[in-house]
Amino acid sequence: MSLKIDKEKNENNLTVILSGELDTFTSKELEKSLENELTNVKSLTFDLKDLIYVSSAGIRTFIKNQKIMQKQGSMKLINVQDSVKDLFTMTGLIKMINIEE
Amino acid sequence: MDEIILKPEIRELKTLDKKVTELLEPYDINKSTLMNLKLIIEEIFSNICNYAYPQKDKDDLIKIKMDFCENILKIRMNFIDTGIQFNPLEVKNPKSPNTIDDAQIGGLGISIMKEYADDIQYEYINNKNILTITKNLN
Repeated sequence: MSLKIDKEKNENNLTVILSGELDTFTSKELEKSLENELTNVKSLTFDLKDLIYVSSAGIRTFIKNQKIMQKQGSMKLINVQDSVKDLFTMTGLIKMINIEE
Repeated sequence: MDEIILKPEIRELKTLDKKVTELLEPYDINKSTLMNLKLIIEEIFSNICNYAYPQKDKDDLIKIKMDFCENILKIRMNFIDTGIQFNPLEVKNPKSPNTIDDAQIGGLGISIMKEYADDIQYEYINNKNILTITKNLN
């Protein structure tokens, strides 16, 4: 299993659609993929509809991006699966990051 | 009892995952339970890789023993390393942070492991860390 990263950019809005697994390996791929993409982005959305696995490495990647985005705009997660949402609740991420129902 | 000996390098996690998948493949185990097991394994293995062997010696190894009980669908895994003595059960769960700036990056993996494993035991014997986790798979 791996991670598929699709990006849709519309002016200052970037949507990143993640499918598969966000683990210690693929979170590095995601960070790399976003490295030069966030300049001028005001609104960053992660669509997690098909993301079935997240580990602490993945959570750290979301925290890192949240820290970047709170300086220049906003970030949110949408379509989070229940099992992933349970993990976000347990780790407290749910209080730090905007997770849209 | 299955056993696998790996180098404490994060890429070896793929080898371990494969081994566990092969072991459990014949059984009808719920997908989300398997995902939780995978999560526990990733957190423990990456903790050992990241922190147990700061000196990086080519002889460093992690031994993992796996004991799967077919009748009651339960797996017990021993993670054995000769790195720095470390009892994850003594780590207090990081206080759930309220803001992003309070977010403690460390300790997250340990909290996840404690939450998703059904039982965790730790021993330090003959200079070896032995972490034993049990996960019910039914």
